[in-house]
Amino acid sequence: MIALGPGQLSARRRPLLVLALTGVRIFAGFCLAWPLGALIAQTGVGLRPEGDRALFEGGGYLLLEVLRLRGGELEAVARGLLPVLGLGLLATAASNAALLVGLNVQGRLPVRQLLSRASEHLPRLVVVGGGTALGQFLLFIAGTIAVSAVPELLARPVVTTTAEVLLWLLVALGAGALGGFSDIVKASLVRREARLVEALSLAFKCLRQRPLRASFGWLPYAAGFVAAAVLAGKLTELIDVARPGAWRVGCVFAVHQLVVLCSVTARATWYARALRLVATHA
Amino acid sequence: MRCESSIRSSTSASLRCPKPERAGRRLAVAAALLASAWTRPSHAEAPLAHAPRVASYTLTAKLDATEHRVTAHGTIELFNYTQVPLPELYLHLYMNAFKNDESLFLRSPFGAGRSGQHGRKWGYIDVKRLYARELTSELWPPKPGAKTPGDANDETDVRVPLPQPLEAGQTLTMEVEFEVKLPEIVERTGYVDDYHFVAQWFPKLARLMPDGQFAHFAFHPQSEFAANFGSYDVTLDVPSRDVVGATGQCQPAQVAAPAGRRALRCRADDVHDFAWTSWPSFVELKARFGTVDVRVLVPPGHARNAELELDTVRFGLQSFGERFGPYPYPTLTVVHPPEAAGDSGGMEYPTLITTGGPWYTPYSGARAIEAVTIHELGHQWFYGLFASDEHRFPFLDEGLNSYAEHSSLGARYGNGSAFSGFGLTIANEALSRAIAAARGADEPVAQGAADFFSFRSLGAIVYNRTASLLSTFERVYGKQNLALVFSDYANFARFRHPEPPRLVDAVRGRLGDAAARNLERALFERGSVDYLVRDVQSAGSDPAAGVFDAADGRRTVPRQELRPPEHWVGHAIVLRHGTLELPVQIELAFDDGHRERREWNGEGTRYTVNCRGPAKLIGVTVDPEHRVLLDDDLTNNAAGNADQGAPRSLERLLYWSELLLGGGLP
Repeated sequence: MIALGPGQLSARRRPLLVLALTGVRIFAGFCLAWPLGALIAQTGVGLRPEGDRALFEGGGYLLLEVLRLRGGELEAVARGLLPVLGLGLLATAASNAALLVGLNVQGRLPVRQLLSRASEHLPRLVVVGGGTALGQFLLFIAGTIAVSAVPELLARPVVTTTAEVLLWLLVALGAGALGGFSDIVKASLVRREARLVEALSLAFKCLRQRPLRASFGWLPYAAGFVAAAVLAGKLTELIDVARPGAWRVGCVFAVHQLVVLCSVTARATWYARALRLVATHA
Repeated sequence: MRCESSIRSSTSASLRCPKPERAGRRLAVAAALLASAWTRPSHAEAPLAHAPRVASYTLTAKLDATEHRVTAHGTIELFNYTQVPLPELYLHLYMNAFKNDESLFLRSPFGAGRSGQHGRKWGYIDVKRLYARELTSELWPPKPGAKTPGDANDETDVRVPLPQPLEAGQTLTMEVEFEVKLPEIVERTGYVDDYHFVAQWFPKLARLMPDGQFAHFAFHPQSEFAANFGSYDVTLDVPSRDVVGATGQCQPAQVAAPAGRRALRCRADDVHDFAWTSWPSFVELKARFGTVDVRVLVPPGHARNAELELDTVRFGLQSFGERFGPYPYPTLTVVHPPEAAGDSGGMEYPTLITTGGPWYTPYSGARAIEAVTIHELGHQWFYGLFASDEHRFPFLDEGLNSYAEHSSLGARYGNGSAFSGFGLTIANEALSRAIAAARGADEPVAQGAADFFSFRSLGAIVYNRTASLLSTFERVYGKQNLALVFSDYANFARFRHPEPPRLVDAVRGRLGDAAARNLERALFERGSVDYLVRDVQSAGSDPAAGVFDAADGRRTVPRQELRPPEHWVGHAIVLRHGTLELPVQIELAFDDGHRERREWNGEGTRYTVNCRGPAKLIGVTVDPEHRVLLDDDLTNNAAGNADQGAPRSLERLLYWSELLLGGGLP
């Protein structure tokens, strides 16, 4: 496999890969959703003449009742699904590895070869992901401690809240920067076929040269995804599955899956950019 | 006239005779009070214009904002409106609930009070002097001691024997001096830094009942209060920079205040308690709605909360005024405590209510500010004007008021009265119904506050089950009809301390015996109901096939298996579990899309659905409009002959799972 030049790195070169990864996401999501959906159907809503439309009706009478009576079972099933969630996250990590590999090379890429290369990188990518998660968790703990130390000013509540929000914003920025840096490390691992320490060193080099792009280069793509999700929320409100019509469910499904596609595309676009950054500056 | 005869019959000629005009009014009111207490009204009864002045207070209180102490003196007047002499009286010293861990209030290891807080600084009241003017006798310390009868560790309910009985129709004036050490905010009273909320702070007469007994009780963590009406004239001496909110109308007092201090004189008639707050940082918003001057006191930065509270009060005064009689006082003060003093929020006092919540609450999508404001405002009727005994029958204030709150918010905000956002609406009635159903009929609704297992149980049953019961009545028997019930009840209850039979009578008068029976079962007998649908079946009903012998010979009718039946018969069973017999609707759904409604009066335990027609019966729903909010289980209210799964839920779960997987990886 031959690596693409920096100017050629683009998510548009791999539309099929993006679609395939969206398919993986749908499948993994379905594995998580199905047991919970089946349990909800068994609460009696499946036997109602209007089906589970009643769960979405105004006022939330039946929704609250199902949560009250079956909340414990739903929670138990959700806990039971934690291993499935773990597998799903692993599948997503493998997908991301395949995405990085696929974006980095030119020409036709047989599936077997793609998966083989991705699986070679996967352990180190998982280590980077785990380290990032740990770092973000420590930031969260530090944020909690800092926020609890903010004095509660009796007569200036807005100042207190603003200080707390600013602290959380700092934590979020730190976590975001760490996430961005982590993606640069991953890109270095794949682009340079580097070992972990070497990839870290390359990523630091990128960070020094393009600090904003290396830390927050992902932000525009994340913002695009959030905008798509908000728009989808408004659309689904308009479609309103509480009203009769199976077509409404179909439309909402389509809208939501477009958002998921948008999410995978945004990640692919950011990864291509991260690879370009590594190729150019590291 | 009555006064003279009572003096003649008295063992003490020194007891004060009220001024003729005042005495005349008092006796007239007392007569009305006694008559209404012992006779059952027809379902339309004129409301009293004023309350009987039984327990009145004239106090001067000085706040030491540094030491968090209130030093006070003044007089307490007790008018014996009953027909029996009183050999003793009872004083509630509620502040002693926070004196030590042995008080009834604090000694439970499972949390204290509604807030669940024990408080970090002790609070107590020291009565320095109690002198009966007409008897020329010191009453303090009482013998055998200032302890709660039967509870040597508690000092919140003190029996004070009189050296000679207070005769019927006579008034006793007691000069009183006392000092209060405020606790750090706990259970709606106390201080945080320079914020003070002073409630349950003075020696308060227990409520004198028509039979001459006092409704006295130690301050229980699950209980609120009960008192007679009277007049309050309270002069407050506070730091000059403080903004004060208090019961009644306040004006600068005509006394010279030392430097750095100012005095306010607050007066209120026809009320039964007095609370006040003092804090230099309050921001004030004022408005006048009709004849009522409304003040909203909020911490800085709470402008949006203040606007919402003012708007909710405007709506509530009109809405409640139309439903339960006009608000009769010239003022209403809304106090929004600072967040750190949140435990002083969410409480009602005559002409003063407290709300609460962070400054950003209005931006969260929850209608918490509107809910707490309308709830506490509703207490101006269900507590303030009606003055039911909150200790013996908390459902009469909290329960009825929760219904008033929910119905008002529902009328104003529709299905999103509790929450509206993310494409989801939650109604207050739905939330309240779910909380009530979680506790089912564990305990009777109509029992004393201290008799409930826990405050959680009281909360579910008194607040939510009562509200769901009345919302059920509103939906089942008609909104207008229940409005008439409440109009009758309110007309009677105003200034008359109603008890549960009055509510039952009002229901019987307007809704009939069956409704009254349901109400009694629900209130006193843990009555419950669960409607459910079983065995929905449908089958083709073509003309019978086979070989038939008739007078004109044998005839063979072939079975037409390959074509759909021309007619269908449907069958289902609707059951009622529980003891409440509430009328209910039953909806039949057919495969051609049309629906039919049937009515069942709720009598008996079973209703059989039989139908015949060109369409196939595919499902049956009992109570499709959720009228019976008391229904123990809504998930069994419908059944069909085909399982449709839950595609909408599955779709939504799938989407959330996909988002989780996408965003769950660093």
